[in-house]
Amino acid sequence: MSLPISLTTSKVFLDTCVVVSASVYGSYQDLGIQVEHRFYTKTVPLFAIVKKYGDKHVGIITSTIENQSIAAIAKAVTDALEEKAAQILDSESRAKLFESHTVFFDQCLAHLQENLSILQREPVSQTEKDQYYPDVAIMYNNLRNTAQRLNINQLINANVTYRYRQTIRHEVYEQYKKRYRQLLKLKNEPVEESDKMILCEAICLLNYYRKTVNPDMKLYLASTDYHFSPSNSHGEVTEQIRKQFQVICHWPDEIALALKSDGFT
Amino acid sequence: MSTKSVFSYINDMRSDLNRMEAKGFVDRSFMAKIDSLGSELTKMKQYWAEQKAVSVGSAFIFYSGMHNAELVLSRMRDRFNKAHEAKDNPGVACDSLLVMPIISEVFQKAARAAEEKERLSPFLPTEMLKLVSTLRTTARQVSLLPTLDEEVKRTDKNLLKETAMELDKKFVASNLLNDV
Repeated sequence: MSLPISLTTSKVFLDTCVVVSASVYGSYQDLGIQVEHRFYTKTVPLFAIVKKYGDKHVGIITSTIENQSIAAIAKAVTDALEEKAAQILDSESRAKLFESHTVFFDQCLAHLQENLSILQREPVSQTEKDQYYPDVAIMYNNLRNTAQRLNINQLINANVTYRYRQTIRHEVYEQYKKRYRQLLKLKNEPVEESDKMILCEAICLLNYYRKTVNPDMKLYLASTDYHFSPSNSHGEVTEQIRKQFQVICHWPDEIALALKSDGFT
Repeated sequence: MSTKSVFSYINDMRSDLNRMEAKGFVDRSFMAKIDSLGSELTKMKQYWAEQKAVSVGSAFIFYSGMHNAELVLSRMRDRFNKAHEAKDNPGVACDSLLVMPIISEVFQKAARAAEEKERLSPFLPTEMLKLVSTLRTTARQVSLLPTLDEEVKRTDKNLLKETAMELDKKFVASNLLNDV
């Protein structure tokens, strides 16, 4: 029986944070403890689909994502270790501390390897990525300028009648803050170069699949990063990425739902 | 043993393994060599646990490299010990030949880092991380990596519990994506 056509028209590119969230957990049944990254559960439905449809190579990564994931997991564990090691002076306790952390680190590495084994690693040439970089950089600069011009007090003054302004200002202020969370995040935390490169890779992959597999190919970018995915409200950044580059960014659990609608039941 | 002697010791072990593979016969006396190499790795691991001239993060990565090489050697020893009864002859020698060059490289990187210390190249911990990942993947493919449960069993339970609880708090409280 042939599979529905939609199964060959959707791919998911996984951002480093998603691969890391899916790998950072540990279960110690003897000790009755479970350690879990805060976004681990959001990654479970997406990985279930990727695994189920392994032969369709629906989940994709690049070497950038793979290398960043190992480094991010190491950093998470060593940051925790550094805090603790600073309080310890004797060699024996320090050695024990290293040992207990390395067991958890090994466990995360094992999960990472398991997760990577079901993802398709695609090559993306640096030259091709560089072609898209100016467009991506300009888009983020423009959005940042919009974010810097964003003045919530002015919005309140323009949209709320004077009579109610003082009484509901705090409430409305919070609503606007939520509404523009993605832009405000961009204002306070400019997007990193490595994130821009990940978006360039996503654009290269979408073009490659549209040329070689299916001209109607949909590419999702699964991320827990506000520089790509929306927060609880509207996402100006997400919307702009979709409009300009046709890459659909969202949280991993939301992408799992979208894939179900695309036929990945 | 000096660092140079450790490398020539590993090379000798590789020659032994090649001989065993060619003859199709596993020599159990090889276990003594595994033990000698294991004790050198333990010394190097201890060195990195105590090393304060570099950041805790870098020291931990080299420590982890030694720890993983030790794990692989312990599994290799178990298999050599049971090779005849388990009909793992010369399978264990062939499998060991695949991981020995990686163990050698792991040791070489840790030894180089120990020489560089304060002048430690920032690329060396990253290279070690990739190597640890390669060692684990290769060792797992040829059944030379103990299971996670076996690894947990060797660890101080109370400390592990404490570490796990602290890490859980950290992972719930922070968003790793900002660290990437």
